[in-house]
Amino acid sequence: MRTLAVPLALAAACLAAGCTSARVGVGTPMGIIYKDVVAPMSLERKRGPEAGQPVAIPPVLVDGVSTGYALDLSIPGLEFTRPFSIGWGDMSLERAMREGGLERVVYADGRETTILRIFQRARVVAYGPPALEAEAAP
Amino acid sequence: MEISPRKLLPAALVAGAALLSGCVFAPVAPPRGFLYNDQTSPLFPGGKPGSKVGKASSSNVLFLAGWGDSGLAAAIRDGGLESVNHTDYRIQNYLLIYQRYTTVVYGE
Repeated sequence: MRTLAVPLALAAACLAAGCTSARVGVGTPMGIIYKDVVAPMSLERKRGPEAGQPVAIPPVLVDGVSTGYALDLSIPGLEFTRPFSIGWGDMSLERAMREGGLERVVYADGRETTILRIFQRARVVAYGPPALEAEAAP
Repeated sequence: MEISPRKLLPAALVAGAALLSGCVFAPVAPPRGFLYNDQTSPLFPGGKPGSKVGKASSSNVLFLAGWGDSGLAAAIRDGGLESVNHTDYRIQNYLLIYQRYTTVVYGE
């Protein structure tokens, strides 16, 4: 049983690092030691009679970023160590839109950065036309 | 402490299966290959095929280090697209050693 402890602990660490940490968008490649990956998160969805139509990429595109952080000193698989982690930040689409001055979100990506699973940062990068341009249009 | 490879195998298989089973979401989740996998599934479905294709990838090695930009922005840039019709997602896995996630964007 003792011989299984090491690989099982490693497996638990892998699972915790890749699946339960702060994550955005589609699942991304794992990185227990280091990870800095961008993945797709959302694409504007046409509704009503325009449903299924292509999503036009605006000629003028700006981006807004919102960020969330976590410091995690817990040991994967050991529930009683879970309190040794803190998370903060606002990685909402609303915040990203406000930061970038977007009229609407055409598409968005998520960026995850983790170092040794202890430091975790998740960012939402939203892309869309600038709000000012939309107001100026007739 | 000496660890027998025979005892490691079940744990490694369980870990690998768990790693491959639950970490990705998409509208269609195909069955995942353990030793070898090369599958494409829809990510953001649309109603029309596209004449242009843009791709962006991210990778990892041994689940220890992950890097790359497989975002929509990078894929759209790669294809030089002015509109997006639909997107797919490709996952490649080779012996759990190397994995690559590719976002494929189709449009005009």
